[in-house]
Amino acid sequence: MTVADQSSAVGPQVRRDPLSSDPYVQLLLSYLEDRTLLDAGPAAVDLMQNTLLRPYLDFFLRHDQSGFYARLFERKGLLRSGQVRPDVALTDLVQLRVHSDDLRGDGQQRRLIQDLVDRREDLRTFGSSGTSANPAGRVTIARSPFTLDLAHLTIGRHIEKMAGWPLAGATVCIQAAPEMRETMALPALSERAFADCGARVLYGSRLNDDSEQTSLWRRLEPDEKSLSSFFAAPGPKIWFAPPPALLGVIADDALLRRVTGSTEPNPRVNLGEQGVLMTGGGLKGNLGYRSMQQFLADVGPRVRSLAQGREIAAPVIDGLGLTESLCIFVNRAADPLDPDVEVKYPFPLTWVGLLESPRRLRLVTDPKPDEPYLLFYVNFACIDYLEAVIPGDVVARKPDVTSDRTDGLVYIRRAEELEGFQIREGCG
Amino acid sequence: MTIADEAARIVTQAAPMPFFDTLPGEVAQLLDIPVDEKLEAFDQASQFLNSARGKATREGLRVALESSGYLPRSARHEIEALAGFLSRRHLESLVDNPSVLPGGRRLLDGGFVTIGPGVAVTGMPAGPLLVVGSGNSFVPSVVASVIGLLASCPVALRGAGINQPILESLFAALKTCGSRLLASLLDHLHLFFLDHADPAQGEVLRRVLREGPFAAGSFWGGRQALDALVKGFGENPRHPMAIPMEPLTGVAVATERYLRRTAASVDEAAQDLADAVTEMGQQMCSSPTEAYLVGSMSIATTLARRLGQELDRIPELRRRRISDRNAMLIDRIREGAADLDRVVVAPRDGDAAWTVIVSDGQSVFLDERGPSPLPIHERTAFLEIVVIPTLEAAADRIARLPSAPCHAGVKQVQTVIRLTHLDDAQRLIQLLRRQGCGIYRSVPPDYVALRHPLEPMDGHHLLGLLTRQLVVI
Repeated sequence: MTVADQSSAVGPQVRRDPLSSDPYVQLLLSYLEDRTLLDAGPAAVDLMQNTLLRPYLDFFLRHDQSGFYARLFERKGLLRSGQVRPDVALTDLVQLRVHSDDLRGDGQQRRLIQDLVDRREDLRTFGSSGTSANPAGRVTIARSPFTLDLAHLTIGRHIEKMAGWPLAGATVCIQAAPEMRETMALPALSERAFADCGARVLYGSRLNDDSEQTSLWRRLEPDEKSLSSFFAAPGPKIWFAPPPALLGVIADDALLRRVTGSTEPNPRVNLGEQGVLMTGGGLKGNLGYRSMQQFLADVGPRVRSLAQGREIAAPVIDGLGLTESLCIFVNRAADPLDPDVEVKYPFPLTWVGLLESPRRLRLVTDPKPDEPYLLFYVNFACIDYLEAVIPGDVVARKPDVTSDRTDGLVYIRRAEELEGFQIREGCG
Repeated sequence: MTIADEAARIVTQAAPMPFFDTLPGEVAQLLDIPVDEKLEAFDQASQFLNSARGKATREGLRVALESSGYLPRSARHEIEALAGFLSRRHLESLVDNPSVLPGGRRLLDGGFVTIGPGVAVTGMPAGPLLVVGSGNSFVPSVVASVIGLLASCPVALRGAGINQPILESLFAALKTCGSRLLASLLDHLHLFFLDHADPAQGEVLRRVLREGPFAAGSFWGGRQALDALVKGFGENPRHPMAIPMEPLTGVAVATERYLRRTAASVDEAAQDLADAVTEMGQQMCSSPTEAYLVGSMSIATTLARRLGQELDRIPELRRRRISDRNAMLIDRIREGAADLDRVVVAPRDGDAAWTVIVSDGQSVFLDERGPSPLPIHERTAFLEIVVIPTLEAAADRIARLPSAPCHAGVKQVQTVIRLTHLDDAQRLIQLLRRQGCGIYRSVPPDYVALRHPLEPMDGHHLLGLLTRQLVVI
């Protein structure tokens, strides 16, 4: 599927959506359609977010479901005489936090705006991978058609910026199975994002018949025909492969020879001029690697691309994206061994607050570089629910040396790993 | 040689532990020591622990306790409680408790005590005792062992692995504290450690249970551990008596009448509750894990806010370790409770150190829209005060508590921490009896960590269970 380059505009379906007449949505669209949005420096980003803040909160009061947001804002002191306080600040958003564990099961439902409750049949519902086997179930997020129709302006443009070249005319292979887009945010949102930016999108995997496996990610097997087609495609390429799926291809020499046509003893993939390897979702446990850096160091010699005709390790974009987040945190495409791969940047309409620690959820107004903090973010581009989320990741701030961008973040660990002492169950 | 090597070696031997051969003969040796001398020996231990000479021992125990997770104040209280228990005054009351043994120490020393016209009894040790301690506190296993020795039952004490440094240093210090009598008494206490999760050691432990020359076993631990211990004992051809100390919990019950009896009553109750939910990290069977207030939301809210002030004054709560997951769970529970119009009192800076919730009529965890449960074994300084209309409602709630979402694994309520007049406390017990639901204790708040020498342990007197009464008619 090839779509004409319309990456700076919203489609007619967005204009037809009843929500598009809302004043906040109109304001939001004016930002999203601005081609310079991704070039905004820290001061401009701060101004945009401050400008959006009150209209954003007002939006949720106007579209409230059973008074959920009115009660929340009131309880958190954000209202005065029933209206959002004139002096409300971005820092107040921390009060509105929801932990991603509270979005498991049907936790998001009461946070959805009323308009979507009334159009429930139009919603697409996505679940997290299920690899963490949380007893409360998967993180489950409903997305409106409106949000999905904007994916190219949020996710697509962000990736485009980080890749450093336009997606229109590129070929993208998502190392997932087409069936997964029905239930999983990563393939669904990324397909829309890439396709609506004008890229041709292929799926590089299919599902096997292992009905015992509850996680679709564990049922993936390479689709050789599709992979061959992708590797043979002309023009710039992005191979979007989460680590387990990527490993499923590049660790199999015979498969690599078949899909690349290589006869070498150590076959490699070449993504061609400007080719980028995009990963995301972390190592998902048992891949035998201690860190993403170690994983990428292993991947580099196997996944190559060309830079002005010279073969190099394919530059890597590694996305920190979660089922509950509309946008992703991504690095600028860089050599797999470059430490910059670790530095993730938020979408400009995503406000990031770093909290002191999991046990003390206070906003740190001047976070020190390289110190661990708990990530919190609010996504002004999400109108399905107030996406003010603590995803449970501990990150460090990485100031941008050129000061021309907002600070980057380096992922450190999941917040659940540091266990405190627990006096054991017993009698006494 | 590692413990695992040692376990592998002894598992192949005829007797898996050396004390198998000695324990039966040790009964007679213990009978040779009169009760009064035993009391004297333990009193010397008590004096040693309280003395300047015992300072290094106390300090070593304190450090070991704190490094295994005890709050500093709880570590201090544990050592004080142990010294208090070993004192002659305490143990005399225990031995001479008329509701346990007729004639007290006379019976234990083999004297004949007339219990009716023409009927006399004397005491006989049940036989060797196996004590299995739990990880949450080392004191109960020591208490059970001391009572065993008072009853002339030699003891094999399997300590919890987490308490190994504490128990080893305690008994080493007591054996060398200068009391020959105490040292010879402690020769009949065989301390050992076997990790049930280790295949070789677990097998030795199972053989100890199945084959040991025991007459009784005092078992402390969680439900799963007790099930395994009782099952193992059940396979022992000697048919020893298993005495499982079940996982229990505490609740606090207050009445508005009691809280309004003086101007300072709410303040006193708040101080008492603050101590009760802090002591031993709220992990004792007597620790209050829920509170019921018969009265109004207004007084419950006042109590909660005062309790919050008291908890805020306990700096140790801020220093205690807490897992990231639990900290975030507590934040979610606070938010979830506030969303359901509960009163939530927490530190101003949002620290997970302590939380007080006030609910009108029903626990927030029973609300179908309520937050994820916070299991009681993961709580410290977390208390929900449920406002209820009557004592009958309190009794209903206490009776149903083991099926509540946060109380899974708890068999029943052990302790009602009484913030009521005595008549209300007694009425509550009568209501519970009528529901077929006993509790074991109704005590004032300062008795959460204390045990009266005359009170039974979860309905039983261990000394009585370890002493067979031989009758002469």
